Amino acid sequence: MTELMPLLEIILAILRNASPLVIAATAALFCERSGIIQISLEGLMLFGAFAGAAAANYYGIGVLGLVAAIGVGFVLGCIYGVLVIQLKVDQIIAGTVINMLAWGGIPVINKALFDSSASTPALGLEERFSSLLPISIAIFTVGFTYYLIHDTSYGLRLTVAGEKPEALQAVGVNPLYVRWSAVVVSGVLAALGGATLSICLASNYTRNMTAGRGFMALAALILGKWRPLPTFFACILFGACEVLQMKMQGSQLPGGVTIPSQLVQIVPYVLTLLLLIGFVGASRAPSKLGKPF
Amino acid sequence: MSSLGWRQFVKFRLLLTEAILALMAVGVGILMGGVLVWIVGEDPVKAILIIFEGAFGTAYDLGMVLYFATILIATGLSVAIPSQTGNFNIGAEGQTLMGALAAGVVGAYGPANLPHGTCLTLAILAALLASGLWGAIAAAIRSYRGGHEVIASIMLNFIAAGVSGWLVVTYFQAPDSQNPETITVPEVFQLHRFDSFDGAPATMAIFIALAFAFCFWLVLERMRPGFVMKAVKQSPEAAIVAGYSPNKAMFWSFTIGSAMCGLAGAVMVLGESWRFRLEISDGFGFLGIPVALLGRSRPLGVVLSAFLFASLHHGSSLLDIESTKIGRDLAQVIEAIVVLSVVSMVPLLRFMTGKFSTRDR
Repeated sequence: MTELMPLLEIILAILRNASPLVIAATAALFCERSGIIQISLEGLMLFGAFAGAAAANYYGIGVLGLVAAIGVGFVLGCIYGVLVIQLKVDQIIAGTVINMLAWGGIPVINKALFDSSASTPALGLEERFSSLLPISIAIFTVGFTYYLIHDTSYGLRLTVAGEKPEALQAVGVNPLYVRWSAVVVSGVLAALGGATLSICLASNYTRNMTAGRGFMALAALILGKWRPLPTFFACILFGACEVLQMKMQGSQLPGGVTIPSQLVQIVPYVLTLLLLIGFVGASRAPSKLGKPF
Repeated sequence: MSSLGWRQFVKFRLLLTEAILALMAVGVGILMGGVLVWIVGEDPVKAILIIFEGAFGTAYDLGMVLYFATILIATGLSVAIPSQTGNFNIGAEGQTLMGALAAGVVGAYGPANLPHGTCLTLAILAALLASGLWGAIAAAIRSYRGGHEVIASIMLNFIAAGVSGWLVVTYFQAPDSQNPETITVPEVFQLHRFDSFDGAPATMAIFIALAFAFCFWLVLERMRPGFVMKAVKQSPEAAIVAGYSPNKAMFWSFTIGSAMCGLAGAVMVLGESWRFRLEISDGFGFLGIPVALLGRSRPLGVVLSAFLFASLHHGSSLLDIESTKIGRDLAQVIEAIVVLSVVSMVPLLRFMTGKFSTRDR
C-alpha cells in the first residue's frame, strides 16, 4: 500500500491540474459545436477567477465566490451572444476583445477594490474549497455533457446548429436559440473553471493567473475533435505534461539526460499543431463554425 | 464629369465614411474609458491630461512614442496584410519573438568587422526571414492543409515562447546573467538613437516602417498582387477563373505579413535593449490587432492608428505615478473598447435604425 501512495499522489496532481482545463474545454465544446468560435476562454477564465476570489474575499463566504463567477460568466456569455449572434460581429475579433478586456480591465477593478493591481488578498482556509471540488465538477461536467450530446434531443440540436442550421429551421427549431443557449452555458462554465483556479487550487487571484490555460483548453478541444470524452483525455494529457514539467524542474533523468522543461511545456501546442497539419489523424470542425446564421 | 471622376468621388466618400467611423470609435473608447475612470473615483479629465502629458510632455516621451509607433506600424502591418486575403494573423506575438531572437543572435555572433550599415541590414534581414518563416507555418496550414490559421497561430505563439526560451538557455545564454537572455550586441549592430530625444530609443527604423507601409500601399493600389489579393477576398471563384491561385495568394500575403513582425523584433533588440530577452515582445504583437482594425487594414490607417496607440500606450504609463487610483492598464481597456466600437458600430447602427447602410467590413 505504501508504495502505491506516490502513484496516487501523482494521479491526484494530474487531475487537479487538468480539472480547470476540462471545465473550460467543455465550455468551448458547447459553443463550438453550435457553430460559434470560442477564443475568449482565456478572458472568461480570468474574469471568473477574479470575480470568484473577489466575492469570496468580500463576503467571506466561499460559495458566494462560485456564485459570483457564474454570474459574471452569464453576463459575459450574453455580451458575446449579442455581439456574434445578434450583431454578427466577427467571432475571432469579438473573442479577442473579451480577452483584452480581461487583461486590461481586471487590474483596474482590482486596484479600485483592493488597492493593488496585481492580486486579491489571500482567502482564509474556511473560505476556500479543497481541490476535490474542481475534480468532481470536472468529471460531472464531462459525464453530463457526454449524456447531453449523445442521448438527448438538445445535443442533437446543438450539433445540427453547427452543421446545418437550415435543417433545424426546417423542423421548426430556431437555430439562434440553440446557439444562444450554447454561448451562455459556455460563458458560465468557463468562468466557473477559472474560479476553481483562484478559490480551490490557490488562495487568491494573481495577475494573469490562467497563464494561457484558456488557449490550452481550446487546443484540447481541437485535439479531442470536438467530442466530450476525447477532449477530456486531451486535458488529462496536458495536465500530465504540466505535472511532469513541475517535477522535472532542475532534476536529471537516470543516465544524465535532461529534458528541457521549456520543451515539455509546449507539448500540448505542438500536438495540436501536428493535428492541424494532418499528422495525428484528420480533425474536422463543425462545418458552419464561425459562420453567422 | 467623366466616369473616372465619378468613381473617385465614390471612393473618396467611402474613405470619408471609414475615417469618420474610426474617429467615432476612438471617441467611444475615450468616453467609456473616462466612465471607468470616474467609476473607480478618479477625475476623467485629469486622467486624460496625464496621458497627454505622459505621451508628449518631454522630448524623451516623444521619442518613446516614435519608438512604440515603429513597432506598432510593423505589427499592425503584419495583421493588415494577411487580412487583404481574408486571413486573420493573431500570431504576431510569436512571430515578433522569433524575429527578435534572430536579430539578437545575428547581432551577438555575426561578423562585427563589417560596416555599420551592412551589419544592420544583415540583422534586420535575418529577423524578417525568421518571422516570415514562423508565419509561413500557419500560412501553409491554412492554404494547403485547410486548417484554421487562427488556431495554428495561437499554438505557434506558445511554441515560439517555449522554443526561443530553450534556444537561449541552451545555446545563446549570456554568461554574466541570471535571466534567460543573450549577450549584448556590439555597437556596430546597434541602431543609432536620434540626438534630439534625450536618449529615447527613437531610431531611423521608423523610416523603414514607413517605407514598408508605403510599399504595402503601392502593391495594394497600383500593382497586380494587390488586385489578386482583393479578388481572392471578394470572390475566390472569380480569382480562379481569372487564372489566379487563391491558396498561393493567401500563403504569400500571410507570410509577407508575418515577416513585418521581424522589423518589430529587430527594433526592440537592436534599438532598445541591445539583447534578446524572453519577455521582450510583451504584448506588442497582440496590439497589432487593434492597430490594424482601427486603421481598417489600409496603409495610411495603420500608420495613423499606430501613432495613436503608441501615444496611448506610453502616455498611460504616467498614470502609474501620477494617480493613486488608476494605472497603465487603462490603456488596454480603451484599446479593447475602440476595437469593439470599430467592429460593432455599423451593425449596431443598422440594427437600431433598420436602414443605415454602408459597405460591409
